[in-house]
Amino acid sequence: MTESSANKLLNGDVCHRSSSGKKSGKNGFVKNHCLFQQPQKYRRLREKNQNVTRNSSLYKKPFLESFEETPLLVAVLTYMGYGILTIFGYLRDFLRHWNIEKCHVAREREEQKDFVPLYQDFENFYTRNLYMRIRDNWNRPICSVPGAKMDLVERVSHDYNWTFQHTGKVVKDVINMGSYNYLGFAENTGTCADAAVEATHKYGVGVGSTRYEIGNLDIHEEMEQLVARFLGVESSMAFGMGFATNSMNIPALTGKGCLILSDELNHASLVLGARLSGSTIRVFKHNNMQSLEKLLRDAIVHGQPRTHRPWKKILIVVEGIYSMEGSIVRLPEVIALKKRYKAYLYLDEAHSIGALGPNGRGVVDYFGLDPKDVDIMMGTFTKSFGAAGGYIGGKRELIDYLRNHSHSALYATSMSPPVAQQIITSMKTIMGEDGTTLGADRLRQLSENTTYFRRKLRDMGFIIYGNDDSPVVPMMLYMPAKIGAFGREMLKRNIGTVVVGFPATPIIESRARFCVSAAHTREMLDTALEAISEVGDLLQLKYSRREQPLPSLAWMSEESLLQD
Amino acid sequence: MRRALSLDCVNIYALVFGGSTCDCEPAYRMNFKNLKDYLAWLYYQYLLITGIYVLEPWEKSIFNFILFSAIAMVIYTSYVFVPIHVRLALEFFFGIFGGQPESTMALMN
Ligand SMILES: Cc1ncc(COP(=O)(O)O)c(C=O)c1O
Repeated sequence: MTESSANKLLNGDVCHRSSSGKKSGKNGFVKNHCLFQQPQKYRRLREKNQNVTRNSSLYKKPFLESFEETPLLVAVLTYMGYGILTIFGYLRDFLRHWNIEKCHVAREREEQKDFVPLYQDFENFYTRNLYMRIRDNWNRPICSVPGAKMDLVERVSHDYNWTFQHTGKVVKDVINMGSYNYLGFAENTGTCADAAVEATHKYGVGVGSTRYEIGNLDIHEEMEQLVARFLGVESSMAFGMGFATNSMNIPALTGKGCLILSDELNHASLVLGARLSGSTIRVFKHNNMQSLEKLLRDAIVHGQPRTHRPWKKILIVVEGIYSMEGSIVRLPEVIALKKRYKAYLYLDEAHSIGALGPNGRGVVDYFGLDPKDVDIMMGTFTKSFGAAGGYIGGKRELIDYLRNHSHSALYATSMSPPVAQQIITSMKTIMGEDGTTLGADRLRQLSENTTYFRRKLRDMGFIIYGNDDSPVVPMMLYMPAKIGAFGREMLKRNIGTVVVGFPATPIIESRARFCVSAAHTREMLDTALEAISEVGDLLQLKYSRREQPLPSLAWMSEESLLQD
Repeated sequence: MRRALSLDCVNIYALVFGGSTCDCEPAYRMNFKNLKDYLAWLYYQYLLITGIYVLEPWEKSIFNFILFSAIAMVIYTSYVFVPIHVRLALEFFFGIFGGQPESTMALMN
């Protein structure tokens, strides 16, 4: 029994009941893979191997995550496309260099010519020669609340995206498939908005001091208590910005002589925080527990480099839902590893809080685990709550320590009161403390929408990444020209989408990313799906090579395999 | 009749450029009214796959010019030289196999 058979299991090909014991038992967990064997939906799955499920007994429900392999031909054509664009990039750079064409971007001044070049690295080249050409797909000004529908300011470019002019017209009622508005709390009407208005009347908008000094309002304390109750932790603390919550608190928690084990796809804020802390950083493969375990073992066996002293602390940093991959962290396994190797766990729930779990309390709730097993629960209010800021939750000592040591607590002005009020009201709605079932309805609507949207896209033959329950739905585009074409074609059909390419993704894995929201009605989703399908045909995006027989047939074929 | 034509075209397209060729679900069923539409669509696919969709018109022309002149040259050279090479090759192989006396063949049999 080797690793490869475990891979096979996940791929749904064979099920070795008898011999699955030995190797996978090395973590000391129950071993029977077949417990977790899912009714097969698809016969010929081509997954990346990173997604091996072991320790299935730790999961209470099926953990279905798929990353279909890039078709070889598509990969080759994508590289070819980049090759052609790179050649033209060099041509344009050459023309700019000899002043044959006007240069619109920053360049070295005359007197700097012989110094170290400033704008020659690949990212600059990429921005100048590839991103600029399809820049019209990004930072488009919106002139309404970015809820389920939004209004866009129409703009045109007469010089191939170097400058934009506003035409003065507004594109009305564009379906918004891109905002992180999971529960649909980005609204300008309703209880949350009313409460925020009231808070503005009472406290004003600016606070003008830090929490440590005289910026500590009662509304902040109320919010923190509520957040702690919501998360099921002893205490919590809120910050004015989600990004700063990560990048300023990790340095407060670890320092020299500590080790940070970070997922390779962690958000920039986590990466920045880890770097600022001065700790040693080691990166494990995305959501790959073997890789994490190996790093943990090595860290414990070898200790610090050269001195071989034990590490002071080992901090595992993971996210709840990965926003580019749509995958959900394998939290039960991470917690098991963390307990086994006595490490600390930092969980960033930016996308998962509110969006996952039967009660909307994030991945911990989703897997039915105990919040106390996660040492540092971080999250943001920017997504599901339709507000701004971030929080950290955990043991009382931890929070008290952070209050006195975190830079963003000491030096940053505290959160604006209407924002705090928005958080309080939306969180109470989710918890059902407002006496209605609106929150529960939104949670249900979100999970229904997610399932529906993902299933439809998959049935249409697109390659969709990520977990079946994640409201972030990345759809693969691959080729550079298709990034631009997809965004433009969708907007023509009055649907606003986010398209993502390098550097946010690996260079060949460009994608469109949809964020499903509870505010989307079935009609909106159907309109969007229809448009996506149409554009998918037009641009030939239906890459998936899965065969999709009836589920019952799949069962039969598996049974016959088992009898062999 | 029209429809059959368009589907065939699409199938050929799918064979050349990849994509799902599975018969069960033709995911790419586009309905073209006439050949012109179809050619326009094919040109669009060419733009997307080579990536020159994002280029400015003059760059597109340069690319097309280079590519098509290269193809034209390949075709022209093959037209000029292939018959000669084929003839030479045939002569060569006839020299080896065809030049043998009948009696040897009989012996071998
Ligand atoms: C995982 C993760 N952490 C932190 C942040 C930053 O949060 P904010 O936008 O509230 O600053 C984001 C934002 O996208 C995120 O995805």
